[in-house]
Amino acid sequence: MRNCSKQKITIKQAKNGEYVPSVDGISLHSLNNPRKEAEAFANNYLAQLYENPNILCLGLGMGYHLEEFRRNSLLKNKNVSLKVIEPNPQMVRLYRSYASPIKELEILTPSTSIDLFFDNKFVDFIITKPVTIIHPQSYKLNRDFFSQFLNYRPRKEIKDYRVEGNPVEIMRAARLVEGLCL
Amino acid sequence: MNKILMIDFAGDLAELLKNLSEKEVHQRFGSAFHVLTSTKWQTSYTPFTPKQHIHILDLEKIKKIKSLPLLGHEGATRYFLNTISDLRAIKWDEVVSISQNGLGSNIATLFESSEDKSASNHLISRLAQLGFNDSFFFHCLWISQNNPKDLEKKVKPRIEQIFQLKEKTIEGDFKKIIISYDDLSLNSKNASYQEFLSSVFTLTDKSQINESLADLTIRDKVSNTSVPKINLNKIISNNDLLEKIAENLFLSIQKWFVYQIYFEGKNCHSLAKVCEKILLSYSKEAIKDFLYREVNDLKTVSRVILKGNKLLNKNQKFDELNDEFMKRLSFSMRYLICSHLNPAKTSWDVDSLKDLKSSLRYYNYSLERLFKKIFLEPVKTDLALTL
Repeated sequence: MRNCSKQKITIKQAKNGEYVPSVDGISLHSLNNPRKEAEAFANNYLAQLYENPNILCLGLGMGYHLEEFRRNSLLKNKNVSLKVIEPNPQMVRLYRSYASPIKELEILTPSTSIDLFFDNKFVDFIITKPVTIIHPQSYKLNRDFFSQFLNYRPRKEIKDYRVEGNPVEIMRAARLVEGLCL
Repeated sequence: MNKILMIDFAGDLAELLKNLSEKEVHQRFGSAFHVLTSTKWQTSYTPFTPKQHIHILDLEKIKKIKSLPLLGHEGATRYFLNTISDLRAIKWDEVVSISQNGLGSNIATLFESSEDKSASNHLISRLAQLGFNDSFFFHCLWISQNNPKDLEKKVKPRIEQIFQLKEKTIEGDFKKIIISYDDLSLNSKNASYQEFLSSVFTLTDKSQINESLADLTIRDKVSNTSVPKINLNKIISNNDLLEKIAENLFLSIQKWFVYQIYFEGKNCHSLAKVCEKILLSYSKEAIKDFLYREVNDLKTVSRVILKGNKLLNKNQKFDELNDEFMKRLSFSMRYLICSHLNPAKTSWDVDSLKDLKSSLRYYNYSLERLFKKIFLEPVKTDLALTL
């Protein structure tokens, strides 16, 4: 479970004038030139971003890296679908206040990391096998949350399934799905 | 206006609708029914109901979800239930499904509320009212698979009702009924079987029934069930009777099917399989003639196939090949039977023949060889007894 409410977030200004959030004294981007840092970071994923227009990022920050992902992806793809998981709602509010919006970006702020797997829209996105990129600074701050997300595994026994509803119906649906996938 | 949800994953309902005009469909279902279907069949419904009433369950997507380690079978189940949750929240007046393979019908069971288990009745009665009388066979199958306990109390009266309705509505063919299963049941020791037959089937022409029918043995050969078995060899040994049966072959098939699902529902997985067994079991020239009369172009078709026909691959064991072939044949036969059962059609569907033809070609099997196997080889006793 995340404990984001206790995190103290402040905004600093980098040397180039860009805004940089700082959580409990730890800056999420470079305090010299966050955009240049993001550019170098995104270039590490150039090949994947060229190949796949669907991007999933873990960690929002001030979104410099997301702008670069988008820019790189659009060099080879007509459209891009960009989703970011950010467990801290405060961070989302700051982003919305200070950063310029990215049209294709969807910010996901689930209460728990596994909530996402209950959302069909997110599952639809997962099926596309998006390029998944971890924003290291954000990951460090929310290690438990992201690690739980990345290590999530489905239950094996139908009786243990995390599905809401009548157990008989769940059993029936599970059997049906089993039949579908033969 | 009644809220109707049609569930169709095998395309059976779509096929039925194809034979109706838009006006007829609206008369029967109303102007805005909903459909839950697969990607494959969605376009079949666009002429009949608003697009927003066509709900897609993408089966391929569910398969993909299952294959992802993050989601697996649990994720696929959750996704599936989420997908239909909005539809399940609606209180439907009717839920219609006639899937043969059970998928659509199994999905239909998820639309039954725990308080109201009468959806099965709805399915049958609704389709009968809609004029799709032949469809009730599929429904019987569904019910037998899903609600075996309901058979006696709920389904039987419905079968009676619908069968009577069918008798009244489809004349012509039914006037030709020669064989009555009332008589076949004379020697049955199974009271429920007798009761069932006598209540469901109407004896239409006793005088034409050959006395030899009385000798028919109702065999109670299956040790683990109390289901009586009819020895078809006894029937086919009587040429006169066989001719008459052949005349009404498909009607007989229907009745046999009801018998099958009523007593052996759990073992009866598809209409096609049963029909196929029956077709194979009747054997003899009478059926051959019947088929040739119905499919007058059969000889041409067989000649065409013969041109491309090759000998069976020597490396393949015949039995293995035959098993595969029979699977394909089931598929083809399903269409042959369905198209014949459709009162709107007077002869077998050309596509069905093409389908059969392609099945045969796939296995380098000639139509002649098939018919030789079906009609000229001695009827295998075990095959007959499985009926």
